[in-house]
Amino acid sequence: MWSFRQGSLSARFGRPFVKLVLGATVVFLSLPVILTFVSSFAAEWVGSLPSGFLTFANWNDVIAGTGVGADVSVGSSLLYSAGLAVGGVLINLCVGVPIAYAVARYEFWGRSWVNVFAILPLAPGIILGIAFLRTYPDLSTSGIALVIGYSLLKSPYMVMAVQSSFQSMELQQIEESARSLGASWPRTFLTVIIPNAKEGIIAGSIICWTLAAAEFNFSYIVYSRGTPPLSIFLYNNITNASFLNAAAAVSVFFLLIALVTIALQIVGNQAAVRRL
Amino acid sequence: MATITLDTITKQFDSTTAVDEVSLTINDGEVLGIVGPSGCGKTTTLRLIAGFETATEGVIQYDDEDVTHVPPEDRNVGLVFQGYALFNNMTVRQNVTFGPKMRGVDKQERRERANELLEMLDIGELADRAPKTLSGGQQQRVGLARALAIEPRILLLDEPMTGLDAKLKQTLRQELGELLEDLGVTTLYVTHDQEQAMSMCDRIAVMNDGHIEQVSSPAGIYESPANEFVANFIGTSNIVSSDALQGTIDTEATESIDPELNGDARFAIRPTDFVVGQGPIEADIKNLFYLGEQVQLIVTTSDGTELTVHCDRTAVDDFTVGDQITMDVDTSRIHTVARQS
Repeated sequence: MWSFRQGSLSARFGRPFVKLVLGATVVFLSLPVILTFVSSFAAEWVGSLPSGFLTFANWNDVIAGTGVGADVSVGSSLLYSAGLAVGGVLINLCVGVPIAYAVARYEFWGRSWVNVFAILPLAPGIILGIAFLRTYPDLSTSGIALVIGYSLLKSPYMVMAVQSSFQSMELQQIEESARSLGASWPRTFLTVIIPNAKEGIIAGSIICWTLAAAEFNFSYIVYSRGTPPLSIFLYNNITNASFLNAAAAVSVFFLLIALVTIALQIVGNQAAVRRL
Repeated sequence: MATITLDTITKQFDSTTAVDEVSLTINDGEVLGIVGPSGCGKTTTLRLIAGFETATEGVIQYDDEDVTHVPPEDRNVGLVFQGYALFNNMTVRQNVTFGPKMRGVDKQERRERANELLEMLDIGELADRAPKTLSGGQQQRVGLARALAIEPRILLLDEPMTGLDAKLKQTLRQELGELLEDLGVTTLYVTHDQEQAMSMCDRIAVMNDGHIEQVSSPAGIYESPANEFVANFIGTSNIVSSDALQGTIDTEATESIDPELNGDARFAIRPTDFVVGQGPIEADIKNLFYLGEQVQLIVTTSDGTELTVHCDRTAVDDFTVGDQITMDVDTSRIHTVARQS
């Protein structure tokens, strides 16, 4: 008579089943991204799959700004958004990293509140955008408002990523070791603590930059004239031009994210092997 | 190297007194151990000497220099932590040269110094490795090399072998002991492991509740504990009244030797100082544990006192739990100790 043996059933089918579920999930999630990128090289998309490969017309429209979706090229829009996002990341590095360090390293009055405010995205982009327009009407027409808004909106990601790195090391002992060896506190912080939290800082920077460069809600409320941020540029392409033009614009953004991620990883690795 | 003096040092954290009027001298070239239970103030004492805590009251001196308020980076103290605290963004050699670099030693000299120390600690071939890739014992050696590279006035070791396996601990203990003796560097060794302290230190300070209970040589601490706490903390002791020993000790005579105890005396007897087989003490075996070469007996005397007795395993081959035994005690090995408050 056949008897049910849970252990053997699990051993035989458990791992393949988990692999199948994971694989299906990954395909399901990444398929829109892959199809978008592939379709940007297609002449048309009628039915379930794009056709008419291989053409660079969509990319040309987007890069040259000759498409009907926007009156500027994606290059200028991308550069503008990239610059704004870099500004936001720099502010987050200057403010978020010390906050993450303080919360991970020290016990002080109000520590838990600082932690909560630092890691909770308190205001949605649209609310923060309206508040900015009300509070700083003169600033809102400049890129400064976008930079500040991006840094505020994305700071929790920087704080969380860096704090996680700090918490994974013996922060107090490392700091005290460096100081006993003759390093002042600022030198300890800059040459020992920060490089040891490199992974978290790089991860936080990538997340913040990517999200800031693509931030739509805040940009939509605050942006008024001049070169549009990338998210506004993409929105214009999606709403006013063909999907394939929009796909090319989005693909440019994908490529940019990949390049920035690789660049930051290289910078991090170079810092790690730098000799004293 | 230096003589370190703590003069009535007190450290308070809010309403908690972690270190209470501690006075202690670590002589030039001496290895002094601080042992005590968790929370007794031994690590706080080390941190006060290193400069990571500032004393609420009292003075800390390195030789004749008052360093009470000197920041840690200006004290020239070598520090080795339990968790190694190596800099993972640097190689092993870079870790070791970090201290000399902070002191402005030129590149060639600090590299030579690092190589020499790494060779001395038998990890020369690991110089270009990342600390993360090393075993616990290797990391601890790197930590020690890094601390010694600055030629410290005092070396502070904070539970340096906790977390290592027993065999490695034994090897490192022997090597570290020889190294400290060769270098002659003034060393403070903080540990909760009394065996390590006994085997490595010239003197031992036993701390309890922020106070130092006794400072003496390892033999002095073990053979002549100052009070009930030390007798109980260092090794195993039976702390008993004379009634339990049933006439083996003349209580009045013993108290007359130490009048300061003022009738408040108790007697500390090590488990190995009993002789099982004959004598005036009658007891029932409550429990029996084989420890290898020795057997530990937990026995109860006629007045209900529980005693721990160690004897050769061949002497108790026929004994089982519940048997009644007789035993004697070497009266010359009994110590009068103050009752624990």
